[in-house]
Amino acid sequence: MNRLQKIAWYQLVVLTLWVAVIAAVAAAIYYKDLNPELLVLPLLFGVFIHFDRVFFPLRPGKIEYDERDAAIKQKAINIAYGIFYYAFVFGSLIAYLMLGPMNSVPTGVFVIMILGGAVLLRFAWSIAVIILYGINSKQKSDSDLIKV
Amino acid sequence: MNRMQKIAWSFVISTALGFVCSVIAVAILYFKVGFPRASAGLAFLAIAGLGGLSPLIFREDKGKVTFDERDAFIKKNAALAGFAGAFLFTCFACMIPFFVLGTKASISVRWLPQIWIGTFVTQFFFYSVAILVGYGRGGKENE
Repeated sequence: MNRLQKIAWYQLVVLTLWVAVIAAVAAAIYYKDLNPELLVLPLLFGVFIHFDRVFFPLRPGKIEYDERDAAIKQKAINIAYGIFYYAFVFGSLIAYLMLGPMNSVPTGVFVIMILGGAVLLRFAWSIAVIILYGINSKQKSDSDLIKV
Repeated sequence: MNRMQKIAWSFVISTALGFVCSVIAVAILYFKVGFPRASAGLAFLAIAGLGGLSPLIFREDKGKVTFDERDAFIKKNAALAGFAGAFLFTCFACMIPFFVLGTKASISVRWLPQIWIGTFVTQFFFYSVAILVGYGRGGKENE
C-alpha cells in the first residue's frame, strides 16, 4: 500500500467515525432534549481529517509519488467533484419538487448542504482512490518490487 | 491560437456578456418594477449557454500533433481550477444567506436550482480562464 492509498484509507476511516459521532450526538440532543450547541464539540474533531500529511509524510530519498499516482489522484478528484455536483443537483431538485416553488427553507439548511457536500467530496475522493488502485492492483508499487 | 484556446475565449466572452447584460437588466428592472419581477433580468444569463456551441463551431486543429503532454497538463490544471472555483462559488452562495439574513431566516426554495446553475457556469468560466492563463504563460511557444 503506497502513501496515497494510506491517506485515502485514513480519510475514509476518520470521516466515517466523525459522521457517526455527529449523528450520535445529534440523536442524543434530539431525544434527551439537550442544548443544541453541544453539536459544535464533535464538529471540532473534523480537524483530524487534515492530519493525514502529519501521519503519512513524504520521506526523503524514497519515491512515494509518481506519474501514475498523479493520474489516479487527478481522476479521483474528477470523480469526487462529479459525485458532489450531481448530489447537489439532485438534492436541490428533490427539495424543490417536494416543497414546491412557493415554500422556503431555513438558511441553516444551506450551511448543512455545503458542509455535507464537503464531507461527500472527501468521502468520494477516498473511495475513488481506493477503487482506482484496486483496479490496477496487478501493477506493484516501488516498495513492493523492492521487497520481491 | 489552438482549438482549446478558441473555445475558452468564446466561453469567457459569452459568460461575461451574459453576466453584464443580466446585471444591467436586473438593475433597470429593479428601479422600474422592483423585486421579485426584476429577477427576470437573470434570463440574460442564458447568453452564457452560447459558449456551449463553440466545440461545434471551432473545428479540429490541422496537423499531425494536435494534443500533447503540455496541452494535457494545462487541461488538467484548468479542470482543477474549475472545480475549485465552482466549489468556492457554492460555499459563498450557501454561506452568505446564513450570515446576512441570520440563523432564524428562511429563503425561497427557488434559490436552490439557481445555485447549481451558477455553480455550473462558474466551473466552466474558471476552467476557460485557467486554460487562457495556462497558455498565456507560454508566450510564443503556445502554438
